Amino acid sequence: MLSRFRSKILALLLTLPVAGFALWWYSHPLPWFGVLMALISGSFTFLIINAKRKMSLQRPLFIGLFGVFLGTILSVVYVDNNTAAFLDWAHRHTIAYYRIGETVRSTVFPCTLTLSQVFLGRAANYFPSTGSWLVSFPSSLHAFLLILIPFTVTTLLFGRSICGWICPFGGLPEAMVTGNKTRWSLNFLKKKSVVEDKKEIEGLQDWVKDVKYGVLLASLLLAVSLAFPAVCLLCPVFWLSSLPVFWVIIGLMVVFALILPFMTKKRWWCQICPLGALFAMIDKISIFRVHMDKKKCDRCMDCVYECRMYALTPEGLDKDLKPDEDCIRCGRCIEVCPEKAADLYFFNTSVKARNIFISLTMVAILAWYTWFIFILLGKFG
Amino acid sequence: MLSVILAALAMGVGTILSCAALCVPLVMPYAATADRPGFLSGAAPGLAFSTGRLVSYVVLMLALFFLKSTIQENFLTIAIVNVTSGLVAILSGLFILGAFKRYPAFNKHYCLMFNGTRSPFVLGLLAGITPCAPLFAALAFIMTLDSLFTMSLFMICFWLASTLLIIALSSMGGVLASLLSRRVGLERVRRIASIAIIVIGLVLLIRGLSGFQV
Repeated sequence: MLSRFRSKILALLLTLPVAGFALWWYSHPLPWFGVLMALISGSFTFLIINAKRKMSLQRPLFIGLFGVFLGTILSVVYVDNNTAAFLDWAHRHTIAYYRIGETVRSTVFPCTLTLSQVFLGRAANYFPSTGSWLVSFPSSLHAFLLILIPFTVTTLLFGRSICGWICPFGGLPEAMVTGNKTRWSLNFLKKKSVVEDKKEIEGLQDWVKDVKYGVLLASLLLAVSLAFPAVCLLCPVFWLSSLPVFWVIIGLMVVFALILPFMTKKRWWCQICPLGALFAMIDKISIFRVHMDKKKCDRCMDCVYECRMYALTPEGLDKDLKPDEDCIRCGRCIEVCPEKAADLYFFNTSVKARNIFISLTMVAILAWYTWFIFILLGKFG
Repeated sequence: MLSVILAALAMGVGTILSCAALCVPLVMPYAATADRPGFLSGAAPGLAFSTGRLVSYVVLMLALFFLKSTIQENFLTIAIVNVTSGLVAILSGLFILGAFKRYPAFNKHYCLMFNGTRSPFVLGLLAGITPCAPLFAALAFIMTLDSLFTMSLFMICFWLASTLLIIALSSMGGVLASLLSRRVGLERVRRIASIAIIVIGLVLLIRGLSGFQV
């Protein structure tokens, strides 16, 4: 009874900063919207921290974030503009659309380069007018810093867990991972290990794990040589501005975010995403780490089977009882472990950090999704 | 004579800002796929690529000399060259990755074709026949020269100046790969570089295929 009361108090303490942040962040220009966001985010954080199976709430949240992302794109394309008008604009859209230092009222997507400007602007009580964005296009150096600073802070704090909690696109492959049956085995991409009781465990071959790093290297080299901001790769307008690029991205999405996750119950998009590769490279200095308790772990391999990122392998467990750099801290291994051997900790200490991690993640989601939420509010509010 | 050499060097250096920058992403990953990556082994693909370009330049120059006509940009040629370069890059990336090890006969026969510095050489040949803006300027310039010797001198100086950056960056790629291989292992560096080559090949292929629509 006492422990339940204590856990409720702890959940409340971790919820208050989330609700307070939402209230402060979203109360301009509409105070009622700040209150609404504080109530929604606060109650959701309280519920998820209190839940026995946190995954049952994390998954709908993550899929919902993809819904917000998709809804934003569709509302931009269909609500203010018709498709033809939008495609026409996208075709003519260049970086020169925004001039350095000039403030423009954009009725469609603001340039990706200004995303962090909106992010930092909120912190300084700047707010975009709803319905259209007031965007002051920065110089190259400023744009670089505006992208770099919030991006670096988030990445250092969360590492690859961004892919499991914050990524606006991750919800699509996550939604496609349904059912109990693995429909395709894709043996040619796998290596097999046999553990103590002759169980066969399938992990990914090394070269498959390295695809994302190759894609990242190619993207960076092409971006540098073509003087093309790599961040534009994330921009839906860029996708739509060139028909071949659009169809390639659609094709990749269909294969890696729809078909393969549905057939194999794993998140294949994250195995080719260059941004995921970047997060994985920095993941080692993230403060939140999953590891297993050596005394409790009975090597049942349930966590290895359950991991959707192929981050856990028998070899990895033998070596240091940790997942590799692809761990997205989804918490599936923690919840599936019958011995409660796995958990999320601060660095390599024994201080458990899962609830604080969830609370901080909610704050990060509230901050990074400003862009989408205000566009939606502007269109429908 | 000195003015010809200086003009050639100036135009060659000018390519650093445009076409050489486009060639670098194609060459740099090859520098990381050497058996022992380092400064010299890194320079080898850059040199092979540049030699391929030189051969193309010579062919173009001789064509100009004998045909006495100017070269015009042709979208279809560029598209065909992009598609071919893309295919060469994809195949060589796959060979370096060891994708055809299961097919020894095929692997043995074609591996020689794509291994080592052959692929960068072929890519250089292809890059050389799709002239960039500075090369167009250079070709226009050599039309004003009277002898084959002066034209050759101009083209060699132009090539030397345009090659510097490619070889320098290629060597740097080799050094970076060497440093990285100490940390993550040579095999992994080769693997990542070969995947990058395949991705760049795919980008070239898409560019080429979309070029056919022009």
